[in-house]
Amino acid sequence: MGSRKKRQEKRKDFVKPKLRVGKTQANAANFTSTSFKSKSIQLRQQITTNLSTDDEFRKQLSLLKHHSSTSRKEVITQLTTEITNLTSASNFPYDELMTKFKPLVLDSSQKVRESSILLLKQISTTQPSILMLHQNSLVLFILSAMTHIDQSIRNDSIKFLEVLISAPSFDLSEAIIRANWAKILRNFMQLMNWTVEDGNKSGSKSVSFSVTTGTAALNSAKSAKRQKERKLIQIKLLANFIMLGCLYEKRKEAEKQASFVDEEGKNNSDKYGGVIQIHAFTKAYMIQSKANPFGNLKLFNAIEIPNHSQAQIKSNTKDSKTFLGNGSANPLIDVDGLTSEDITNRRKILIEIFYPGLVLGLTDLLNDENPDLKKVSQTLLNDLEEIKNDYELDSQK
Amino acid sequence: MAKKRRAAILPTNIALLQNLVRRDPESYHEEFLQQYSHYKSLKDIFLLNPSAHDGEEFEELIGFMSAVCSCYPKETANFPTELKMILENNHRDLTPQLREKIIQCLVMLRNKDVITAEFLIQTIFPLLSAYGSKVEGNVGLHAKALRKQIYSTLISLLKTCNTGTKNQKLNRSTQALLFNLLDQKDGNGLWSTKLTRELWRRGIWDDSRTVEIMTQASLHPDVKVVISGVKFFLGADKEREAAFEEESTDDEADSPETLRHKMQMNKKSSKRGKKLESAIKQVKKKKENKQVTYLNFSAIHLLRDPQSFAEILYEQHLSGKNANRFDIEQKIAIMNLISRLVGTHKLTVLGIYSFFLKYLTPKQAHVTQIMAAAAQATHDLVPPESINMVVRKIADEFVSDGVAAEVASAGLNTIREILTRNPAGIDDTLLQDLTEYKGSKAKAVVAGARGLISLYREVAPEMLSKKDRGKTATMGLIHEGSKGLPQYGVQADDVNSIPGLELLAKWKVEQGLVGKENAEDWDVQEEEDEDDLEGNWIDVKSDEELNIDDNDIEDAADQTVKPKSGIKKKYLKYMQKSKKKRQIDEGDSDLELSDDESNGPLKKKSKIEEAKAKEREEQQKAIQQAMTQVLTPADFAKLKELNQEAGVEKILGHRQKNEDEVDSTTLIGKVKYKQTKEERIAGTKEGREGREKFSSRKGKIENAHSTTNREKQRKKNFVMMIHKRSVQGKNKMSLRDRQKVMRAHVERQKKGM
Repeated sequence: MGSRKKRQEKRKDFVKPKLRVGKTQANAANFTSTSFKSKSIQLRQQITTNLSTDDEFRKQLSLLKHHSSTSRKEVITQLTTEITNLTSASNFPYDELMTKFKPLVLDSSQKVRESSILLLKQISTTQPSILMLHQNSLVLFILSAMTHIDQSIRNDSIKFLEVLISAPSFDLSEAIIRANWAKILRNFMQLMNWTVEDGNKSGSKSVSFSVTTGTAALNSAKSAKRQKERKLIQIKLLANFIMLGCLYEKRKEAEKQASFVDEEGKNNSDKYGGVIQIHAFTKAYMIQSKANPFGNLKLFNAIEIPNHSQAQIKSNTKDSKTFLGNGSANPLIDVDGLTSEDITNRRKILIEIFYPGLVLGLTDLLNDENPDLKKVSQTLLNDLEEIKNDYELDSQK
Repeated sequence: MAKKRRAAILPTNIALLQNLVRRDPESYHEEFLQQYSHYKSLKDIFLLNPSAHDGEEFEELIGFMSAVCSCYPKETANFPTELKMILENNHRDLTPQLREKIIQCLVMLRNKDVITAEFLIQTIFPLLSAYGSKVEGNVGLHAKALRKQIYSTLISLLKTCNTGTKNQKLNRSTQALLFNLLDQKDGNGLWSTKLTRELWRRGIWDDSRTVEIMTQASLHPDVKVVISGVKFFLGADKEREAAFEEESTDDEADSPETLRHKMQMNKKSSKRGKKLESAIKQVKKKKENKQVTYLNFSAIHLLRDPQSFAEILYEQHLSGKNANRFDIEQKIAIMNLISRLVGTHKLTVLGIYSFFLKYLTPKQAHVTQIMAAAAQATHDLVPPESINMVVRKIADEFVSDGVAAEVASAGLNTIREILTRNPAGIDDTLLQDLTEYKGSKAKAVVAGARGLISLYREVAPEMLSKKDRGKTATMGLIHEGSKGLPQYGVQADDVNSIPGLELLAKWKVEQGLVGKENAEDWDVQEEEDEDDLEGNWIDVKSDEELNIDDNDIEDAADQTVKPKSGIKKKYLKYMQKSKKKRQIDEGDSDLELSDDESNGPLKKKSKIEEAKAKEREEQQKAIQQAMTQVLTPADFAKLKELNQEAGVEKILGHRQKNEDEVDSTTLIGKVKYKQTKEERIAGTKEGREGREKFSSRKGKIENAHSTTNREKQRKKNFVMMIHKRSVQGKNKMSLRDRQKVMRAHVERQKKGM
């Protein structure tokens, strides 16, 4: 039985507070004010967005290995913008960027891969020379991505390759083609689910084409559409790749000749035209202008190619079919030993190993509804025909 | 539809793909090829910059490849070699996990028979020395774990390769590797001893080549390797025996027979059926794994050249300043080994006796072990002077009145052990001095002195003082003259017959078995010794036996005059004596026959004589029989038994026990100290094991139960009971109550209840 005042206070607790629109709610009883007064405020650290020093670049590069995919992606996009804004004089650690960048080809997150494709494009336009330096290892990562068990990684790998192949400078794409012609073709075939014609198994070939990863992805209409788009890109790239590998020089020559004829018509009084004659073999004795001209000799490789006779392995390598002196079971597997430095070898590889499979796959595509796809595959087929003719001409000689 | 769905399982990770590939390699050929090229490109990336690679994905793919390798032998022909290359060239760049994985994969390939055992050994063996404990720069590379992995891999590999028949080729090549390891002068030789020892322990390696490895190890410059080699010779055989015993004793819970019986009784279920199957499988496996021939040669017996081994061992490790690098325990181990060698093979390493002198003082640490070694190193081909030196030193240092009982007893026991092996190593004055200790107060000393006395009573009683000789020895001296000590350099213990043959003959006569040959006796042999390599008894025939076959006693007796192989000299003597006796007996009986009618008692006597003569004749016949016949295993068993009964072993004197170890702990003898409290308690507790406590059971509930009526009654509230008659008693009842009770009682009586 307390006083009246007390009783009222007690009753207050059980009254529902009225909330009004536009008015702030009263603070709770246990509210603590965190406001304070100070004469001055000091900031120990200030985060700035623009990168200027090496350390900050490095810090950002280290974030490329961050475990969270979103932060990786953010860093990549940030780097892309940085690079576009940079002047060529600044000392951005491109080399380090490339070493950190390479594993991103195999990144598990699609977003990261997409943004890294953009970054690669950016680099290829601003710094083609650095790509030239790193092309060898970068292609290794792309090759590995092309055979990755995850299909989305496989599909994206093409885009990386596309960036490299269709780079503005021809040197880069040429270097890649010369070093990795056979491997890239092989992986392409596997990617497209085109079987390579195998002489040994022609009779019992039927086993593996029904169940492949490619066919089984055609589940929904949406994915089918995407698949078709993808296929178009792939075929385009393949056509470009083959063209660059086997026909580029020829076409260039033809163009040159055409222009030369024109020029000849224009100014007949060329200074050296009649005077200086360059010997036909001079080119062979000059210092090579191409990158890594003797790479196929594998002089600096630490590991020699394992020899069958050395290994005491129980295997029955009783294989009648030998390809280019390399007695391997499946041409698809052992393309590593093949050289593809010059056009004749490239042609040979293309025609002898991959031609039947390519033609088979492409004729399949001719039945497709998509007119673009049809068109592209038709041109590719024509190209192949041309290359085959060249090859036959060569071999007849 | 459902089937189609099932066929279109899409691999989204490596493990799933692996499973699919193994089920149906042909259908998943494309996927496999894709992964194979993925592996190749990863390998290229890895080789480009091995150290920077974390290699998790690579590891996974290597695992996948080696799992499905056997499905595509053509495509993956190069795969093992590639793994080998990586391991050989880049093993330092690999992360420990990746390296472990590669080794595991190689083992897997070996188990799938993709690569040979030689290939595997050649690949991983070099790593063992590359990651040795003394090699620098192995920090953070988990070298220890790697060595352990390789070691266990090698052991299990050799074990699997040697089950059933021994894979001699592999063994030899591995042993060659071990020899190479020992050729280097660093500590890596320890691995070779470790491996060899383990394989010896498991009985996988048991030939002289193995022992040769350990011989080399014992002569290695590195101390650890030496000690490990020495320990092998000292203890490996015991270890091996223990391992085999363990193997034979561990029994499964259920044998197939009991399980089968259970199956009949119980309800049948698939689980039980499986249990039975697995039990049968295990039994079969055990049978297969059992090695067919296991010759239990100890390592010391398999040495190729024990003499030079012992000499070099002594020269290299003990003589001069060489011994300084070993501590005392290691030195003792080496001494022990040399003395075992000397004792077992009767070698001559004269330096070692003077070497022992330095250490034979009571204050030397572990002196009993040194004394045991000194005893082991003695045998009858050692010059007595050398032994005399040791004995004298022990006697001077250990056996005197001023020392503790256990010291004196240790000295006496050691001297006895030495002299058992070579009795010529002491002169009689010293011996008589030592035997005087039989009057000591300490029991252990008395026992030691008595041991010496009993030894010399058998060997050379004339060396003892007269009162010590004892009755039998004195009588022997009187009758047969002194035997004299066995002379140095004279071979004494030639065995040229079967001891106790005459006992067998006698027994046969008693049993009436003469001339009967039981086929069963042979059958026994066939059952028992099926594995015996010497089970062929046919070739034993010789000329004499053919001669004797016509059962002519005289002929045989004549023949026995010349020494024959297979007949004991003693037995010949016995034969001749009995022959003479028999002639005399015959003469006697003739006389008696003539006096036959004259006296009755004589007649009786003559009958007895006759019987005796008959008996003798029969015995002769029996011996003859024993000589002519080939002894059956049953005969041998009986012979052994009879020998034991008659104590032939005792008569034959002490056996030379060169090969026996001298147990250093028994040298001190039994010295009884006052027990501490803990010891006493332990002693009493020992007696109580396995019995219940003696005490009242009262108040102890054996099985769980609810409260009994009695308990309820007892615990009932006092107030509720206070007015009850049972509590109040009759005396305090009121008159009326008493009346009531009485009435009721009378009523009951009337009713006849």
